[in-house]
Amino acid sequence: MFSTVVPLRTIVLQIVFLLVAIAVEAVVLRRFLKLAPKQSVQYATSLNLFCTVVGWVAFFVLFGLLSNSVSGLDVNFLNFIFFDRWSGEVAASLIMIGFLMFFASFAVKQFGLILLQRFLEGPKKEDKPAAPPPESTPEPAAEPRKVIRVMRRETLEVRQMQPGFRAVLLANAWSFSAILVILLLRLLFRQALVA
Amino acid sequence: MPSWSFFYCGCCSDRRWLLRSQSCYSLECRASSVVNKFFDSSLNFFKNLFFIPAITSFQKNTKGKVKPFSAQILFLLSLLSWLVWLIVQDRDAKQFVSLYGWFFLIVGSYWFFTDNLEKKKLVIPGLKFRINYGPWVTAALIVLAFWSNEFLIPTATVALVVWPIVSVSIAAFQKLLIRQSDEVVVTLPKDAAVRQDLVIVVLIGLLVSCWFQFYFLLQDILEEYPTLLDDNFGNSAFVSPIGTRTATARGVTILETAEARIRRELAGRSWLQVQQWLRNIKAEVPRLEREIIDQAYADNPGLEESDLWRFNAEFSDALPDDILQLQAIWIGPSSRPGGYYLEKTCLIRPVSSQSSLTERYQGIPYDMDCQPITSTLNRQPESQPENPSENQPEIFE
Repeated sequence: MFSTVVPLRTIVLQIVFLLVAIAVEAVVLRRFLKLAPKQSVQYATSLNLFCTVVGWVAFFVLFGLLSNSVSGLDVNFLNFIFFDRWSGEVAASLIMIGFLMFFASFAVKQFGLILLQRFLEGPKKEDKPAAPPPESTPEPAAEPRKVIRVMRRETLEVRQMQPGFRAVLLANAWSFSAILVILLLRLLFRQALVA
Repeated sequence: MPSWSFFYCGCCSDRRWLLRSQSCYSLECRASSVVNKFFDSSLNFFKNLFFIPAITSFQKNTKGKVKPFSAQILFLLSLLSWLVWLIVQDRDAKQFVSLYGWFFLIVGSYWFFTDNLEKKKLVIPGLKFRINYGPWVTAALIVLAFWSNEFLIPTATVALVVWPIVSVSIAAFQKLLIRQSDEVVVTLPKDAAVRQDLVIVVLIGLLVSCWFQFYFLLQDILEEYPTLLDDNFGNSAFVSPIGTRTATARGVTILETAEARIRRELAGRSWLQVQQWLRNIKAEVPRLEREIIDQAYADNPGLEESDLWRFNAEFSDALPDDILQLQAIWIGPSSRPGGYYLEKTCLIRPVSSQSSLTERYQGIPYDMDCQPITSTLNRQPESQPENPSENQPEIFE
């Protein structure tokens, strides 16, 4: 049996949204995290891809749970997926889902940023014990130097956390706004076509 | 075959057999040339039987081209395994040999795509963008191998969903294999840029796999709701139809079943009895609806969408003929708000038969004439009253 329905529009729309989000977020991340341009684009790409994948997995899990528990799929859901038709209650729940998605994606991106930084800094940690000695010109006792290094690393981490938090929040807000604008334009365009 | 005839000549003129020019034209030699010819032709026959010329020419052509230690050797080994696979009859032996075939093929393809990596990238013209498609090919082979042996991958669905993940794993593995002094070890690369690439590549693979999963999710839905395929997806933000549409048109089945059901009900009745029964058809509709829809879905009982059909029948005593309208109403998801319905109109009229005797005993016979099914699915709802000629309902054959 040759199947005839392909989620091509899903893929195209998702790619467009990803590109927009990456472009917008790269700017924000570059400014707040003081990254190189290329690096900021890579950071934004990784964060958004991570967020998208987590979102898909969540969708599949939720879909599996719902379609197993309730007898049959919701007609509203099918109308939305296949025919882009939504009733008032669907629109209301979509707005709610949008809010939830914003905060969920913020959390996921924050988590992703921490993971990414850990992962990218991984080998530097091995180098670090070798790096400090040239900085300290005299040779002090081992005990106090260790304490100082631990302190410095902590403050560094805290300092890095703070701008990271702000950067991700702002980046998320900007990219969501951009995507919302695109969706509104699509809606207006379609209404103009119908009228 | 000069070398062979030379050999026989050399044999018969024993001592000087190395000196070709003299010995070959000796008397004995000429005498045995007939025998030689016979030997030659029969030898040729046997050589051809065992593909020896083909193999020697293959050897000559590839001499110096096939490196002794390369991916090509693995491809040839794989080819050999598949030839053996063709010859072997036993099923277990076949599977055993096919494992070798797949193994050599997979390792060979991995090897082929890893050396000279930069040359084997697909370059998108215009953009300076290179796609490393080797891992996708290798991963496809791996997935096919697992699938054909039904090991861990039972269905095509799983195979397609797993494929991107396997291919990015291979791509990642290529970057994780690092030469440290003499030995090759698998570790995380120290370069942060390489790690960054690794993260993005793996995430892209996962995303593609999610798309495949979504595609199969849609197929599962459409299996439960095949009537959706009759509708048009022009407005959808998610899906687009591809290829020729295979209209299942369950509504048509329902109406055909309904017509047959009612004809069976009315069989043997007279015109007056038929009219009497049809006037009360409203009371019969709930019972008929259940029977008809169950019968229409008899080939696939328990389908989710069977609850979304409604059946209705309207009868009106009209002149010149009585009208019976059968409707199959779809209340499920549709591009038309509120759904749509398919309709079949039947005209019922009395027939005056030849003999009045039968009329007296059995009543006047009737004739039921049903017209083609019409659907409101593709009708424009707004402009319907203005120009009805343009909005002819879709007629099913």
